[in-house]
Amino acid sequence: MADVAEKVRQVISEKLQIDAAQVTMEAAIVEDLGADSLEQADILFSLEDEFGITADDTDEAEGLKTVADIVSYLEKKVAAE
Amino acid sequence: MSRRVVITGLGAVTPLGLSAQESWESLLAGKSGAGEITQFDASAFAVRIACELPGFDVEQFIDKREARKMDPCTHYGVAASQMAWKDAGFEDGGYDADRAGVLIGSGVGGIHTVEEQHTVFMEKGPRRISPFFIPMMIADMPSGAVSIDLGLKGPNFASVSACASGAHAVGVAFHTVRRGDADVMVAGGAEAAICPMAVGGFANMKAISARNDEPERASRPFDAERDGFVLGEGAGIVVLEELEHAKARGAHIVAEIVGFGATSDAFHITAPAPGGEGAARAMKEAMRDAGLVPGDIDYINAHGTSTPLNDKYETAAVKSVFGDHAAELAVSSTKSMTGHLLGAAGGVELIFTALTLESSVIPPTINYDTPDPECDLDYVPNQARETQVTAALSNSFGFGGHNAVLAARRFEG
Repeated sequence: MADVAEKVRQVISEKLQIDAAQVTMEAAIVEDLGADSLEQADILFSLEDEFGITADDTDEAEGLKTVADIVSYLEKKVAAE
Repeated sequence: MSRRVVITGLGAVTPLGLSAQESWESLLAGKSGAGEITQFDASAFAVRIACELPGFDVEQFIDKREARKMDPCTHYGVAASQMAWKDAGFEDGGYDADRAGVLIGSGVGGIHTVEEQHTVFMEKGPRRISPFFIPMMIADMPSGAVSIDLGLKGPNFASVSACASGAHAVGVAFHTVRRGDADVMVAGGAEAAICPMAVGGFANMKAISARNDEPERASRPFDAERDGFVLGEGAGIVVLEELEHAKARGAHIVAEIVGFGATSDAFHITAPAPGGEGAARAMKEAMRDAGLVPGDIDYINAHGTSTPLNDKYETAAVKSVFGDHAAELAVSSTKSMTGHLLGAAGGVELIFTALTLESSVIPPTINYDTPDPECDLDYVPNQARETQVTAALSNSFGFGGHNAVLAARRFEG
């Protein structure tokens, strides 16, 4: 679990070019970290690549707001694979 | 009375330097910007030389987060535009954003991005294509990004006419200001095409020089032993401004832009029309638009690519337009030093033409060693020349038969 969170924070930090310390579990991707829709998609596709999953359940994937939301979504997907 | 349009800012990143002034100084010193390709492993290619930028650092101009969503052609366009804007003295205002626009041409747009993302697609499938692929690749993005960067809200689009893209951009921007649709236009060209697909494609057309052992001597416009152009990259951007607007704020005026002529060969996808017929009409149109006659012109910054056909037909075109006066003209090709910046060439060469008018020094055509009987004009061989230039043309011709000629004058109030 710590591994997933660490990886997610790393990808977001790299994609948005912000310090990893800013990418807290509570941070909202759009409101707090300033991602636009293209950056959100870019982050999600990178995570798919990283974890070998496909976030094709669009409604659920699009509802992800915070770093913690993404982490728990990924953990669920990875476990289901 | 018709509005007059002047050039009040210059910005460039070229193989000769990372500013307009540095590029100009290298040009007058007769330096070549050519060398072995370093951006990718070109060892399997028939052509392994190009004119690359000397150490461009995008982060001096654009923050990392934005830069990674842009193709290099947009990096160059934004960098050159920021320098031109600063040179014009607009950093602290002095303009109405609604009356200031951007028009930057690019021949091929984000071809680095196309290559990179196509590889991702082939290796990982369609779901891995970057959401930034389209906005990074489209050829209007240098214009779009500059308008965002500088906050300019007037006319904004891009021209695409291969190697004439930059000249078309400046010409249309000039007319936009002259007819009153804007007071200020940031205009020119941006290109970044030193990548495997473009080098391989141009090489297989036999359009680029294969003089791999002597890169600095490969671009040799009008010389009998020329064998093609040398691919360059970069951007050349000018700030065009309505004369009274420029005077009211005490702006430094580099030169006046007075005419634009655009024609088509309607002949062949890549070969110029015999005798340079379309090019000749574009030069005449530019002079007509400017109210100049052939005897008024002192200097032509030639398209002068160093391909066998262009240089022969451009020479023929100049002779057909200028008659006896052709022998009095100085005609130089700065591509002998910069290489061919494709869609950025027209912007960069207008900058050099404006600096020629302002400083009374004509840049040379380097590597001119062996005269070609079919190229018999005064090409300002190998050495810059000090002489007053009152009016000049800058020629640009592109695949597709596009001809764009700009006319500029020394500014005398």
